[in-house]
Amino acid sequence: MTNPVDLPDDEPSIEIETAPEPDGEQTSPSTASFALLALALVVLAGGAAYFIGSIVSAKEETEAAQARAEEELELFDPRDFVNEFGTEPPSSLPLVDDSVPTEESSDAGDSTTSTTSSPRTAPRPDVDPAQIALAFVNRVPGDEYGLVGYIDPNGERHITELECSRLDLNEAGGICLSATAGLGGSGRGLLLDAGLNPSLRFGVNLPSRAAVSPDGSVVAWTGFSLGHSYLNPGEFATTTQLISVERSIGANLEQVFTTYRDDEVVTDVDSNFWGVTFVDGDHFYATLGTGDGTSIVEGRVSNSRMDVVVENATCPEVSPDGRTIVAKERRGDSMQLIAIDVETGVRRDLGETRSVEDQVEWADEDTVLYALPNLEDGTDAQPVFDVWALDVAPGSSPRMIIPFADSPAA
Amino acid sequence: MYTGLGTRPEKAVGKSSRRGAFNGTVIALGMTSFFSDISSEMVAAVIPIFLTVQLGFSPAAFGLFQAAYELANALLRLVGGVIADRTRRPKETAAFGYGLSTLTRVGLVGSAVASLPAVPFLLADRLGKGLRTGPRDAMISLATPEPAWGTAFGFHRTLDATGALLGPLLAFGILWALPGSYDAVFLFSVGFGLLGFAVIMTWVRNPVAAVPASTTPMSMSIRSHWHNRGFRRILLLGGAFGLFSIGDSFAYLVIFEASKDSDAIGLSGIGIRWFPLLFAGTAVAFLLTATPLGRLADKIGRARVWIVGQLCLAAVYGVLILEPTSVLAIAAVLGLLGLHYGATDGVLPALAAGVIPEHQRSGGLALLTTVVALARMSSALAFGLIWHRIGVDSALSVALCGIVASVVVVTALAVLRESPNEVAS
Repeated sequence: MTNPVDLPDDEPSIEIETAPEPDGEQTSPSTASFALLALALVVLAGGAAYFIGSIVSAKEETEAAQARAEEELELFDPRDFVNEFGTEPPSSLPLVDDSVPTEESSDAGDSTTSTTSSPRTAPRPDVDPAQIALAFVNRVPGDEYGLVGYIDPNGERHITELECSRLDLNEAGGICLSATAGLGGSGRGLLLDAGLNPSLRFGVNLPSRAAVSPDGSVVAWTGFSLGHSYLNPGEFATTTQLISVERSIGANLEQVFTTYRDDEVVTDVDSNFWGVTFVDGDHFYATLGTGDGTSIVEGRVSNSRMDVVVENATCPEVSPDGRTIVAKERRGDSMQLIAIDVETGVRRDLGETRSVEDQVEWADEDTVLYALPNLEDGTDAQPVFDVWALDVAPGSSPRMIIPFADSPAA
Repeated sequence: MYTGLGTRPEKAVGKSSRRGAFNGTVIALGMTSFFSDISSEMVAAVIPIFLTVQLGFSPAAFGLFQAAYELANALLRLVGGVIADRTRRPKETAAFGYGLSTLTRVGLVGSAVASLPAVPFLLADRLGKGLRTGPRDAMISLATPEPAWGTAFGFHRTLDATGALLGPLLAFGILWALPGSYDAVFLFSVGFGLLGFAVIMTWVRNPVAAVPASTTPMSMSIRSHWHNRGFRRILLLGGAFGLFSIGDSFAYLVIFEASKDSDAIGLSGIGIRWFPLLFAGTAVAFLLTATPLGRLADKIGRARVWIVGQLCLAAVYGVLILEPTSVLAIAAVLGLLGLHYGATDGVLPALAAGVIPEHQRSGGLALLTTVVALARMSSALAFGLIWHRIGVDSALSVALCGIVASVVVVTALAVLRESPNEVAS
């Protein structure tokens, strides 16, 4: 391709036709240049080989982790949760053995008209709501990682085809968020009925928190968004939206609501909201983050107003009776679970010494559930979480209640 | 004045005119930019996520990093231009820039694998990018006969933009296939960077200058640019219009916010999910139009095409003011933005090259891009402030009026006296 020697003066036109590069020089485009070219190709080939190798080894790692997880799940008695929290008593505790396959979709679809004609936007698990003692996101590495699972009243663990990274569900309905692969930082949300069937699809940011009100009339999601502040392009921030289920209308907390601290409007440009929890379809709590720190706000949908009620706390979750909020308080690099009495404002530490990233979920009037990372059993791409239960009474200590699960929704 | 390449300048003139815009140097520089842009945009696309999610940067630290990143680029651009002029070695200067950027990505592989600090490498990458811009544009103009400059720059920008489009696609493809595999992204980036470096080392040659290397100090050369009346006019022109150029990200943000305010949750979802596609849409429109518009500029006059390009931007603001929530309106915004870049990005250096003496061209073109970049930066700041304080429509109206007024003034001046801006008409 190159002309190591000077071209004769009478042949310029040939050179034009054949050579795309400029005319020759006395010093040829040396072998060093071509070595460089070769090196570039070698690096690209090496990159490709490394990439393919990484995919293969990631697959093997996942398979190994899956095998490990299945072994550990065998050792764990799945009835623990139901024995303790099952709303309806396990009428006739059957002798559950390992031979029960997951056939939930065929035998559980009796309560609703089993319409399988829905468009292929998202699967319709069509689970009988009475069968769901607790729903969660499956964290067993492998193909079923990230699918919604549930514990039935007999303590059996079932996995559906619905994919979620964050879930909330109760007898009235639910919400499911998942990150979409590829072009980073976005996700989709689904409104669910009590049987995990999607009814409405909407866009979200990178999913973080999800909540549904006890009456199912309002849901809330929080996602991380990039470049949210006009003044600092490229910043990370959160978006939190409330969605009225009946009217299919969303309201961004930051834009639609006005926040007050001691009856003065909070006008911090950096303010972010996340982690909503509902007392009912109107009354809710959420986290307000500003440059100074985090606080808990109490809001009403009906008057689009939020008031700062607790300072220095984050990720509130209000108990079913509305009297206690379990939240987190920053202690250095660690997040300590605390209980706050709604009436008196008195706060105390719960009996969990590890740092909790999760927003908790109430299992009943005195126990909260939350996920903690399990660093031993996961892979880079499929990190494992276990769900732990903790009594809010003083002096309690946490117990692992559902291994290989995340985002518990009771 | 327009010497070609190689050892016999007087011969090369003839050759160059026959080769026109698509000569070896322009093709080679285009391919270099193509590979380097794949390389650098692969990294740029994943950096926000890599820094914040993987390395745990706070938003404030990330904002600071962004500012330093752009500043490093702007400053080194001037330095690169002046060095290239003084040594008369634009090729080596540019190649050093490409090589430096590639080396920093080797460091990034280290950051991904062995948690070396990533920030110094990222800043050095911008230094490299700054160094090469001026000399590269100078070589394009020096290797091409004057009547074909618009086409040559347009062609180069087409290859450049194609690389910039493919890079993120490749990066996200890799991350999609294997989440968290930043090391693979950076490794591929090194490979493409090396490829670009190899192309410039192998197929690009230093132009033969008709005048000896300049020995004036840097401040002097900038001053001499200022004393060059023709060039000063173009600097003012580029700077003035840059002041009303809000930047694509803001345009996309307006679309995004408009669809969010319409209060239908379905729309807000489309807004977020399609956000990356907005960038891609503009890039496609840019790369498709850069070469034909460059050629058009060579035929009917570069200043004219450049002005029309600015009017396209004014049209973008107009559509944005009218609430771009329909697919058609969004497509119009992307198409017009692409046209704007196609009609201005390569046309401006082609316009300026004619009034900058050959021995100062690297520095002059570097100064021009720096002025435009600084003007755009202050414009983005002002736009953000007005948006925040008063409202988005006011901010857009100011920008729209600014452009229209500038076009009127410039056209009036050009009509009043034979404008030297109309180089090729």
